[in-house]
Amino acid sequence: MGFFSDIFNRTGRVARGQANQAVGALEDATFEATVQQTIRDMKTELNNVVRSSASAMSNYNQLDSEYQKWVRQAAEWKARAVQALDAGNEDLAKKALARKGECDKQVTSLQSAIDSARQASETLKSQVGELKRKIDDGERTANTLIARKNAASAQRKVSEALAGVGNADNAFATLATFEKSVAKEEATAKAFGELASAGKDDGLEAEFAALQGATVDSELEELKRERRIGSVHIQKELPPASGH
Amino acid sequence: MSQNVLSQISELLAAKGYAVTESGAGSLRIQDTDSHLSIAAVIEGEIVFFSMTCATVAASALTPAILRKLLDANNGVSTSHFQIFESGDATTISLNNFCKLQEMGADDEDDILSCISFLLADVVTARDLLAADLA
Repeated sequence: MGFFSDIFNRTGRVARGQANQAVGALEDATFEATVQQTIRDMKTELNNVVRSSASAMSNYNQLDSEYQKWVRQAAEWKARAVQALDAGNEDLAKKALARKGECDKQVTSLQSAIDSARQASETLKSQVGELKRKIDDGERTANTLIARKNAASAQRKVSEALAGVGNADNAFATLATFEKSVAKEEATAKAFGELASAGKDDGLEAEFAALQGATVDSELEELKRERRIGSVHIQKELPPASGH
Repeated sequence: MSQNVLSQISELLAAKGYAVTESGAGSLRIQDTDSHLSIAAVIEGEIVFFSMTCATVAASALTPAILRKLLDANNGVSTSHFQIFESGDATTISLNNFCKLQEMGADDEDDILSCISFLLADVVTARDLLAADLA
């Protein structure tokens, strides 16, 4: 939604300065540039957020490192206090506990700062993700807008071209002419076919056809005769039945 | 870029046997050499818009019944769409189609050839649909 309003605000800004038709073409040319500029602006914003996020994460990491150092030292002083107590040196144990107390104070004072830094870092990371998603959406929307604008522009040009064509490119009339020429060619081909067969002696053709039939019949008889002879030979060669 | 695309489209269609001429800035006239049917193509950015003039009739000839046929989802013209263009007292009925090019690769070539094939097929259906009404 923000992307659309941003686009149309920018387009509006472009359009406001271009009231007459002479600059209409300029507006067309500017449209794509405006849309692309919006995407570039969003990417610049993303880079800024990524930089801020990196800075916040670095800040958090530094604080965390400092925090861990004090936690570690507090634990070390506690261990020393135990060691001193075990050795029966209460004074030394007290001194160690006093140092531990200083470390605990640092830990406590850093706790809220580190929580804030962690929250800031998480928020910025989430913003980076959201902004990347918006940029992807924006790019898709921008491509669609540009394609629609180009399609509308192409259609307008076709419309202008067709206005001057009149009846010159009438497809229905062209189809009718084409079909007539195809029908004429078919009729001509048919006429040639009839002419080609006009000189033939049908009786003679029939006699040759019968002759061809007779040849086939005689070949069939010959084949049958061969098959009968073959069958007799096979029967002669078979062994006598065993009686089982 | 448009001029480059225009040349590529011209070469593609010429290789497929169409007669192609430039009819203006970013515009082509594509003719099927068998039927002599003509298609106008306009390239605008990555969009190629194809249009075929079916017939030009008096504006008064376009009755509601004819307009209903043009818009009817079951009119048989499924891969292109009708549009009418008004010019004075005359109305041009056209069949249109368009595709969005990417990198002028194999898919784009297929899109372009398909658009043209669809128009050439649809115009026959359109003629059968409207011939009696426009006669």
